[in-house]
Amino acid sequence: MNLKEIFNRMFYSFFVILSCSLIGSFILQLIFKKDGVLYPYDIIALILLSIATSLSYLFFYSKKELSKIQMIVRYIIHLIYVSSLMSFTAIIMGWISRKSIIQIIVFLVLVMLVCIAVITISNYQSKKTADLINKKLKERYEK
Amino acid sequence: LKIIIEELIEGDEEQVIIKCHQITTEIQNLISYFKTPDILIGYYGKEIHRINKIKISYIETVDNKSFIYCDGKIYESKNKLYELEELLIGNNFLRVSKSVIVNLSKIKKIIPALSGRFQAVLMNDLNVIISRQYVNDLKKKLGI
Repeated sequence: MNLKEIFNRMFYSFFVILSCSLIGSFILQLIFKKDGVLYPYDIIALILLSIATSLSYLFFYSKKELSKIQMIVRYIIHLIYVSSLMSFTAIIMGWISRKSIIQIIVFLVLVMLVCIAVITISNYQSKKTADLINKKLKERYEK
Repeated sequence: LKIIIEELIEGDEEQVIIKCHQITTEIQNLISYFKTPDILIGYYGKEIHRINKIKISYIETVDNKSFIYCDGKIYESKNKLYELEELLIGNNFLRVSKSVIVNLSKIKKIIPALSGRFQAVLMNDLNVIISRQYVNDLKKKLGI
């Protein structure tokens, strides 16, 4: 991916990650802190976290076209970075307790669900585009 | 669209007259088709071949050399990819990545690849990657 593509993707991902993180925080509070409150600085932390997570798309920067394996390797690095960053921030901000393994596991599961949601939405859009292109190709060349 | 073909008497110059309300992309493609030659020159070992554009599946640049893929054979071209792109413009050809120009009429189907890219499966079952940045050009060409 070139830088222009990466910035487009970062911009789009920022909003998806932020929305999913807010939903994730809500679920986390519902499970562990039913009377918990989401303060403005928590929201700011989530925004900063979404920016930091979106920046991880820089891992995909390459002047040459990446092969499928190279792409998968970068996806794995991206996932490790995102889950480490999120867990670290969650512990620092006191969203989860470092002493509770269950809280850490549930949090990591939620992070993975956010990642899966981002990938699923992106794949769904790609599938829709591919179907549309295939339809047009068929109309144009199969007469 | 009404097509009129008139047979000329010997000595008359052949010509194409297009009557239209406005010049659409299709008409522009048609004009480019008539303006550009149908033949590309390719080298197969020491042999020089005249390759009909219709037969080309795709053209790829590897290590600064351009290769023309058609009907199971690979020909080398002395032209740079951007020069070939200019020669093929307006036909069914489209640049789909930094190193590949593909013949759209040879695409069997498009499938999503990772990270917003697409994979074009060609009639001869070869695969070509369509970069994310060229997807819009493809959509535009197909009128999407």
